[in-house]
Amino acid sequence: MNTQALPVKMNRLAVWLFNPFTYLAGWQALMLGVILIIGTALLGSVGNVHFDGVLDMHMGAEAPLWFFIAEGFIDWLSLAIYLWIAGLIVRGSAFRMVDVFGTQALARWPMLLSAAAGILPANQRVTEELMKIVQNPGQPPVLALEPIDVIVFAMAMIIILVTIIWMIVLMYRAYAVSCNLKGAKAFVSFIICLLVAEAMSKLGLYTIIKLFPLN
Amino acid sequence: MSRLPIQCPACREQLNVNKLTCRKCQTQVEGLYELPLLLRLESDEQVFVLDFLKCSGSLKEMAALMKLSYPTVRNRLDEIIEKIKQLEQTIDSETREKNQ
Repeated sequence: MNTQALPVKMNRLAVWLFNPFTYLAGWQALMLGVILIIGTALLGSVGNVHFDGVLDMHMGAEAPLWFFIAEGFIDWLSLAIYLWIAGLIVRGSAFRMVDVFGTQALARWPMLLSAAAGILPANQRVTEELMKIVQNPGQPPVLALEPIDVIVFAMAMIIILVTIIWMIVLMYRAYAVSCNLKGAKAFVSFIICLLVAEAMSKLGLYTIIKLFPLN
Repeated sequence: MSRLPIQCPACREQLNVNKLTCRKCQTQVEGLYELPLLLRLESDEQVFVLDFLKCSGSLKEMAALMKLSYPTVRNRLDEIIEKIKQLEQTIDSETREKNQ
């Protein structure tokens, strides 16, 4: 058949990095996304890196493995459900539910890099020292750290910040492609969903901790 | 053969066909013939429409053929449908203007 590729302004690598949903969506994206969410949780559990909210990442508190996995799923589903509902309201025509949930699962993949940056031993040492200061407010703050630890920690923070921004870009592109939305409609509805999902994911995690105490 | 131009390079207005030539005997017919709706689409859009027909209207088959995701192909189809609707409106308004 005489098929031409769609006119793509960005080059292929840039499309794979910032809009992989041009090539990947539906069940394929869902399966890959879920595997990556579980992989991120497994990696995070090694160094107590928590994704405790749609856009959150914190280090420190110990928890069983199931809780790390639950965090990943709550973060993903909180946003996907609201974007799906928003898509139905704003779009007004049919689109596949599996595309919204699949692409949103895949959009979280930069968190795997965040988890990798978070479990670096230097970060663990800095986190432990910071936790000591927080847990002993009466004592004068003393950081017993090597300069290299501080440098690695600072670089990891930059990587984590970049990956979170990257993830938000992917989440937006996933929503726009899945629901075929553009412009102000897409942007405003996405921001509203993101803010609501952030709050709801916190509520979801709080509920889980209340129902299944970690200690 | 050169690609069929559909817009005036000077003012971007829709072009009409003025002359047709027989490939065999070179007989020429002159007149003012409007391009049919499908020929008013861009060449890549025409290819998409033809491939879509060859795939029996299956977006899944189209996605596999073009190595693109299902929603990307569906969005492309939606864009072309929207363009066809606009072209139909343009043709309707042109016809009304001529009849008045």
